[in-house]
Amino acid sequence: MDLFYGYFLYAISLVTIGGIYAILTLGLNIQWGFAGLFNAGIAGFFAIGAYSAAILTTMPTDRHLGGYEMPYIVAALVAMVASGLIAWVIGKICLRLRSDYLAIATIGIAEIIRLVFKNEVWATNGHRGISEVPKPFEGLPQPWNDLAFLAIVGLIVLAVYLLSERAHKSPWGRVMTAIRENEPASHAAGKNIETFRMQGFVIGSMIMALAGAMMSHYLKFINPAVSEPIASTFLVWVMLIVGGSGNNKGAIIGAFLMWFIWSGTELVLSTIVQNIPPDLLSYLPADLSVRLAYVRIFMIGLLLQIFLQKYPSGIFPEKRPIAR
Amino acid sequence: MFEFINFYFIPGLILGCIYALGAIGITLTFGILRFANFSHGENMTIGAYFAYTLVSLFGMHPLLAMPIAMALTAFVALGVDRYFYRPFRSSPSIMLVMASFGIMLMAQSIIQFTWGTQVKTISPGIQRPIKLFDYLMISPKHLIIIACTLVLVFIVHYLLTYTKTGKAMRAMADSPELARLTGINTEGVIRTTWIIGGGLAAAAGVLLAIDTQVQTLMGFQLLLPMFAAAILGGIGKPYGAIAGGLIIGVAEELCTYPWIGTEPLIAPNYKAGVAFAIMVIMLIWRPSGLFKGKVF
Amino acid sequence: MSEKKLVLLLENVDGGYGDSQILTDINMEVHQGEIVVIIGPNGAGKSTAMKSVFGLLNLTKGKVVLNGKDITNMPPEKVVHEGVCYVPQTANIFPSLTVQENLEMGAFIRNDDFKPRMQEIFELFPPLYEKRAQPAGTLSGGQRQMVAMGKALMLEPQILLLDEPTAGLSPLYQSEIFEIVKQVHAHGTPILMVEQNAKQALAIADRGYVLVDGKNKYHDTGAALLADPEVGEMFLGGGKAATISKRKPATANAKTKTTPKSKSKTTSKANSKSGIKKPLPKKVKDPSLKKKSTTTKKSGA
Repeated sequence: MDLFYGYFLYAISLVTIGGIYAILTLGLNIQWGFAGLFNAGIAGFFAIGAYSAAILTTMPTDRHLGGYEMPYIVAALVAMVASGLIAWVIGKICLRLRSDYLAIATIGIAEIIRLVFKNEVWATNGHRGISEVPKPFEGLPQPWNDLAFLAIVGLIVLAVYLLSERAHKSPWGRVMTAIRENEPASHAAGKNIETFRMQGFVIGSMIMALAGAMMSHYLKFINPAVSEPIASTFLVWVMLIVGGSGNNKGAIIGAFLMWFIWSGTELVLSTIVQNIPPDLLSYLPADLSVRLAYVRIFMIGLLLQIFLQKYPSGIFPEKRPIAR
Repeated sequence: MFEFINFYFIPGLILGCIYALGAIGITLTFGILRFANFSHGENMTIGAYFAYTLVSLFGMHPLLAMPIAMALTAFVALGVDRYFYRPFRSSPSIMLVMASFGIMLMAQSIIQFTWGTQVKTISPGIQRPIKLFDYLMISPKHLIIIACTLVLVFIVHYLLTYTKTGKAMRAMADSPELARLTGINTEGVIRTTWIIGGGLAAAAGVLLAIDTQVQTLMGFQLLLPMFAAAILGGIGKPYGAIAGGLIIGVAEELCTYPWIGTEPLIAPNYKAGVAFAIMVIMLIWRPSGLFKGKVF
Repeated sequence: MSEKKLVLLLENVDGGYGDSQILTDINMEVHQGEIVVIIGPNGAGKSTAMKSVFGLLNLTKGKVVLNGKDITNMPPEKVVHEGVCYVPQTANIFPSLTVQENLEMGAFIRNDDFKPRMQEIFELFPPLYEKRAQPAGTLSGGQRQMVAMGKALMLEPQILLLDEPTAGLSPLYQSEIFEIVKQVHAHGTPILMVEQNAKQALAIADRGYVLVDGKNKYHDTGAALLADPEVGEMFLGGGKAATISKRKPATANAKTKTTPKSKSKTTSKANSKSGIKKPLPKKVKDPSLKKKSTTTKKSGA
């Protein structure tokens, strides 16, 4: 029974984090799937959300900036605005150029955000990170606490999904599609392309920050590792490509699917390492389990390449919003 | 004054040499294959690890290992192109950017799996710096780096200016479509681009390893300054990339000089920010770069 | 007409981009020593017909034969090896390469010594010799066209394809280009040329093809086409007037023989006053516009 309960809690956490990834992927879908903008710095926007929420809601402490004890919603809103502002500045600089430049600039800004969170110890407690981030419904006993949190995540996913669907089908979404597919023609039709792109980019980045805020409340702890590109940027890209860029449902399903695969392979690999006979182990490098973790990244990378080459529209191809 | 030169300007120049060699490959692939190659940093890393392997297995001198590492890396770059970039030749270039982003992480994970994450060294230990004019000091390994860079840049210059393939590379950077209509062997040009870009990146990696150490994220950490150098110089302009690399290397080091008061102007931790700032200024002010390169 | 050797033959060619068909049943011939022009209203498929020779579009029917060899749907990089050189309308030089390097690139597929040929081209275009060490991008519009043609001629091609060589140039340069084309032709290279500037083009042409809606409409000698009232109404005066400007409003029915352009200008002026062009054109105007809109869609897809 205890074992079952353990699995139950594990399943809840799996679905919760999967849901947070779904929010991220929906955010990316607005940027890439709708507007055709390559954001290589998802980790940066995610980290801004996570750190803003953590700093704004924690109790006073002398380890880092904090003690504002703001309500969750206010903190999340501030996180989103901060992220949106940074996206706006980047967008101002890069959106008039081809997407490659945006990719370079976003990976650059993500790296700088990471440096700031790592080095500004007075504000972020450096690599030790911010702990004791409050979590909603903490008073509830387990598993109700986690279930309640899952419900919030689920509601946010649903809300972002519905808004995103509406946007996709609205005239705004149709203009986005038009811009992505035939830029000169939409230019000729008198559409201000840069403004539309900017809207997509900023909104997507704000959604990513919201996901970051959720993550830091859920884990109750945040450190610069959240801004490592592998765990967030790369995984989210794979989620969207596998699920189907341009398709909101695909984004959500891709997020859960890849998150389950990602967590599942971790489980499998660590089981393998634990079951290697000791006399064989002595021949293998001491940091084998650390190294094996990288095999996982390689496999996911390969999966991305296979999808890009063979199934570029993903499991759920985009449904074009047909006008009239 | 000499302190400024010895501890800020010369290290900046050294860093600049390494950026320059790396940025040539970035600018060539951007100009000829028309995409920002995110996996270019990994060519550096893998070059450094090849050299490390040769040095540690056979006790080879790093400088002897360098050409071999360059050849091996060029070979790897060709293989990656064959299986991961060639299928996208006629796709929108953003697909290539995405594929290269994936390759970057795949390459990192292979390196981390194969060699582990511990830091390694190939440099022959601490050397006594050479004194010039009593005060000017430069360590032998820095002289090696400058000499190697000069030789490689000269070779690249010769290739691009005097050989048929080199001219064809420049032609293709101008207009890939016309190159095809003219009968230029575009696949051959692309292969040469990867050989040159990959080889130079490997050389940059080995030189960086000689200067500092070998570690798995060394190339990734240089990706941003190398992009900045390529954009500063102008996309598709190898000489621009060289100038851009040197400028950014020197600028990064000079920004850590205590120009005002006794504190560094910019904390060394934020050196990457200098490159980023220069890149942003260029993108706003003059996206074609100093040498009037391509703007996409 | 066809006592001379047949160089290029298009036979019942259908073709287009992707699924969309642009050309229907096109027939064309170019013989040794000829200048052949393709004219027609905007979007009639003139450039497309030329590109079909060069493997730049998908041919679904018919065949393209060069000197007796079937080159249907051969990709451009191979067609070059067969001795066909194509000068696109725009972006037809490498701007950052020097003039001489541009010519060298033209000879990319040659493995023999092409120095003598380059000398010949410098003799044909003396301004290029003077500016051989300059980046081609710094040259004037007319000189760029010289570079573009010179680059193509480096291969000593069996046939030269020119896609609207005068497009976007000022009238002064346009005349210069036609002079250059004549010179190149005098050197013995047969030329197939697409031109908007129908009157001047027909004036130097041995034969002309009129395309409408991707189909052969008329075919005759250049002089005869210039003289044909119907062709004149459609393309030399009316067609142009309807789609572009009123600069050449006249029909050409007053003319009976090929005349140098200065002369034709005066006649056209005279005709514009005579008001023959009245009945023009809904018929011509409409299909050309419709066609135009469909082709833009295609190129966007």
